[in-house]
Amino acid sequence: MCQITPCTTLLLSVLTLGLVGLAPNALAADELASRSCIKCHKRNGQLEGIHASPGLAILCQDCHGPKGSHPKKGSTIMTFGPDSPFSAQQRGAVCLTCHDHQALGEVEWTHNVHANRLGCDQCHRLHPEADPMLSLDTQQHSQLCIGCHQVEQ
Amino acid sequence: MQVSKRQFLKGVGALLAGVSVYGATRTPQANSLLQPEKESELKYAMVHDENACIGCNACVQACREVNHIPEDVTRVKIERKGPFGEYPDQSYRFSRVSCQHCEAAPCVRVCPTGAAYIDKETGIVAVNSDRCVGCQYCIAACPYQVRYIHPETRTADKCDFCQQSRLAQGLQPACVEACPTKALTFGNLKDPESDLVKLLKTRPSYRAKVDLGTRPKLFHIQTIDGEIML
Ligand code: SF4
Ligand code: SF4
Repeated sequence: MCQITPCTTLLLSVLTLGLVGLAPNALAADELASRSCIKCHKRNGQLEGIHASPGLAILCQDCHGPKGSHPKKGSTIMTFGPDSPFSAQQRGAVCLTCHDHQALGEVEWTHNVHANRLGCDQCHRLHPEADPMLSLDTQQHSQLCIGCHQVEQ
Repeated sequence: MQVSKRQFLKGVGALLAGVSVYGATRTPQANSLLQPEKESELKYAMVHDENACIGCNACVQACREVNHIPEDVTRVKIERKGPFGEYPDQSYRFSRVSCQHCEAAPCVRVCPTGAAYIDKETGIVAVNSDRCVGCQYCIAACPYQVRYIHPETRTADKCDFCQQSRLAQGLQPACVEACPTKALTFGNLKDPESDLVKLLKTRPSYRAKVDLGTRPKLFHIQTIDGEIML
């Protein structure tokens, strides 16, 4: 029974205007910093999945750390994925600032056996709309294990 | 000639005894008891190395696919226990649960129709689904709880080492081939040169519920890392 009546449209526009009107003053310094990342990282910087939900209000630097000298030499910016210079543990530690390892182990036992062996980013993707790990069927789940554990014939 | 009542009764008694012995010898079980046939050179068995197993369930899925097993039942399960140890250094233990191909199979003994049988050639315990009436005696009798009624055929079903689906074509059972870590070894117990026998002679193994006298042919190599479990 949800219809957009002129009344709600009005309400919406008031709200939007209100937000837009408020925005420049309400933005904290780190949110501004986060926005400046996107100026360069238009293509690889968009956060779209569940981590982008407004309630979480996750900023780039929450996971990637302060800009520092990035993109110049001597940058300590945190990166993920196969090219990251950081160890699996260092990368995983970033996720574990919010995620509880015990809860993860209860949802999926394989978390426990890879805890000090893999980084979360070796299976999970959090920038795209959907993390492939959340939609695995039983067969794909097994295939994922086999991908690394296959021994020589 | 006069036949006394006593003689008549004796005669009837002898006749009845004869008939009943004849009847007994005609059952297949009594057949094998009374006239032992030449022993087959084949006796299939399986080993599950619990150290190599990673609990990936590839075996379960391969079985499902090859033997057309619907989702809500299964011929093989990998039982997982754990986690053991402290985070982040934890481990699990895995154990295969499937038909043990008992030499003295209770399921075969209780089956009233002869549908559950031991294949004399290979030692495989199998089900002839054409004969099965679905009475579920075997399901109650199996101490390993690995039998179920197949939802489509409505007859008893369980692991048969892929007797029809793969062995008949000279292939290994589906689970053995699917296992990425070579945790499963299948072979002939009577062949001293088989990988199976070599493995059993070099590694300590155990079998489940041997004290029941079922003489199972599914061997397990116990996990050695971690604490001793009671
Ligand atoms: S494990 Fe169960 S089904 Fe298999 S042979 Fe033994 S009693 Fe029969
Ligand atoms: S396929 Fe092999 S490693 Fe995977 S669960 Fe089965 S026995 Fe274990």
